[in-house]
Amino acid sequence: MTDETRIDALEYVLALEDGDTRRATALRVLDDPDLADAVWEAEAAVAPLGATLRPRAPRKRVWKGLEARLFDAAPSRPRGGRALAVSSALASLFGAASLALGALVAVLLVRPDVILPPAPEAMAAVIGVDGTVTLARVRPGGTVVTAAFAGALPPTRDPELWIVYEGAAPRSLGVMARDGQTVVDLVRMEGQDLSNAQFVITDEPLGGSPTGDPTGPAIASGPIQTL
Amino acid sequence: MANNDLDGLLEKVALGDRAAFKRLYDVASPRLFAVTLRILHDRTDAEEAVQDAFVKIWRYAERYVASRSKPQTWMVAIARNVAIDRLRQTRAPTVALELGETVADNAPRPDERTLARAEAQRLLDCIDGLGTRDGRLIRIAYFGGATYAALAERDRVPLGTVKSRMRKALHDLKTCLGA
Repeated sequence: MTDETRIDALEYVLALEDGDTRRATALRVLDDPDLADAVWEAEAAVAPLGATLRPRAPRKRVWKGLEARLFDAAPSRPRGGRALAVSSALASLFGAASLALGALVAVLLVRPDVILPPAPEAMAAVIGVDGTVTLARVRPGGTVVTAAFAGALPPTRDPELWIVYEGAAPRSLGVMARDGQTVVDLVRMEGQDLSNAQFVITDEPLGGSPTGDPTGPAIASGPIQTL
Repeated sequence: MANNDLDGLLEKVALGDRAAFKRLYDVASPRLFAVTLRILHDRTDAEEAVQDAFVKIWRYAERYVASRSKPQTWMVAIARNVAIDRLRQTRAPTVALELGETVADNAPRPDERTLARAEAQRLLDCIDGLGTRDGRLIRIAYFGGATYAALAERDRVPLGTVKSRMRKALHDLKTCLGA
């Protein structure tokens, strides 16, 4: 890790930049594992400043409001099924994959706070059961760009990319390239927000699912983060 | 509360355990509120920021497990970012800078009860070692008030000048902390 990276990280953590420049760094944090590590080092380094403040309890209504926001609208259900109503296999997939996360993914996942308004871009780290990560991005114009599929599949099978909105059936975005970027049009769903959706990759016959629904197992998934 | 206990609570929260979430809130919200209040200088605003931060903590707790940071650092980072974003949406940059300056002039000293007393003292020593002007700027920045743009506007100097001076200070800070 270079000095320059460490200084960039401190600059970011201290929020000295604003607007688009800050957002650009937030994106770099997602793309650059070295910078991501440096950001957490910097957070840890300056954390004692926050610890110098005398703790003070917020008013009771803050908890009441929080409960109302989180729990009133939806019935109670286990966490694993929250983002994924497709199948329990997918939920366990996420659990398995989380064991193999690299620094890049760790930061993507632990920095929900890099979400800055307004939201010009969304992206996801699609994590495979084998621990590989395929980055996917939604461009403001409505196309999805993914890196080359990073997982392992026999040459007789194709990886197919799906978008899964909360509580809805997967919608195909097509077969992914293995030797370069895949660029496809995003499928939107009325009344559904991208930040409640995720990308899932399934193992399909050559040319993709013959039925329009997934026919093979999910081999990677990742929630979409809006930046 | 020790980081180990917070770790255990966050793991339960990640599984959707509401009782653990309530306990985590009770234990951690006073520290987070202290931070958001220091940034926003408005009780209601700061309380809303704490609420937003806990919404994120609930939603993303399952991913905390993948991070290599301490639970306190992770939660404070979320709360600080929420508060800073809110500050920048609601106040003009120069107003935020003035607010930050009031904070810096009441320079925080380590809370006697903090577990990280030695760490805190070391950081404060390093900040003090930067000299009055730069050390003050880092305190202001931590509490969200200073941006390059606001500093340049106030001092009527080019953005590049402010930026290179501050990056030099950050370099010195990093060297001091790494020593």
